[in-house]
Amino acid sequence: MIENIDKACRLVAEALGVSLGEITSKSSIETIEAWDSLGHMRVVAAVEEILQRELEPEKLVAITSVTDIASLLGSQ
Amino acid sequence: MPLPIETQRFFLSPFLISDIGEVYLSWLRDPEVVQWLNAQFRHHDANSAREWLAQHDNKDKFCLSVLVRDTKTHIGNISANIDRRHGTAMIGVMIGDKRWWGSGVVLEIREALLNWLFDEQNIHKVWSMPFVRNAPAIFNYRRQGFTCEGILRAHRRRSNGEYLDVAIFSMLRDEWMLRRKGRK
Repeated sequence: MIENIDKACRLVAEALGVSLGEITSKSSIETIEAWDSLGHMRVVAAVEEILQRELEPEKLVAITSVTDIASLLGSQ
Repeated sequence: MPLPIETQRFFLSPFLISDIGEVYLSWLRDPEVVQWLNAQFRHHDANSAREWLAQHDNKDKFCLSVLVRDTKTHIGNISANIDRRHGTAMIGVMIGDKRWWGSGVVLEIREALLNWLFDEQNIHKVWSMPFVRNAPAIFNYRRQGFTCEGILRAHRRRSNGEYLDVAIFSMLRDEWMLRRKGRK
């Protein structure tokens, strides 16, 4: 899980164009200013690129945090 | 709070026939702007836009212009269709001026609209049904604390004929009041 959290932090930092140091396991759409509506689009695209598939609708609408993304990466 | 509704950066005031000009029509003809809206299904001109506007009475069916406070520039519309019998309102939004995308416009104007619907229009529940693949819309509903009630599979079509899933997002009055109290 820790490995997936690290991957998720890197993914979010890269997608939002912020430094990795700004992202932690507790980061979410509520805590990161750069995680806006367009940033979210980039985050979702990055997750789907890594998974090489479109996310199921229930999972797609549930992404709000780094831990959500780590869970998705863990289900690869 | 009567109309217009005011926010820090915007006014929301009834969308008028006089607001239907080339700028507005250019939004309706921009595939990127209308990709998740019913406007994608037809070519719009001034007549079709007037027909569409005539469906709004600004008593139960509201279509409000989003105007920049400083310049009075029209950048989009936000709508609310109220069902008085059940105390519900279905909402929608279009930001046509793409220079404002990603700048928190929807969060700001929808907060004011929710306050107005719950406080002034005595609405019990506000809901919407964005396409699941419309990530910016999903983000905005999540960010504002809406609950996803479920997914309607292959429920709506796009202009290319493809059926896509939509999500039902809602906010109850009590939930909004709690959220508002928490922010103060």
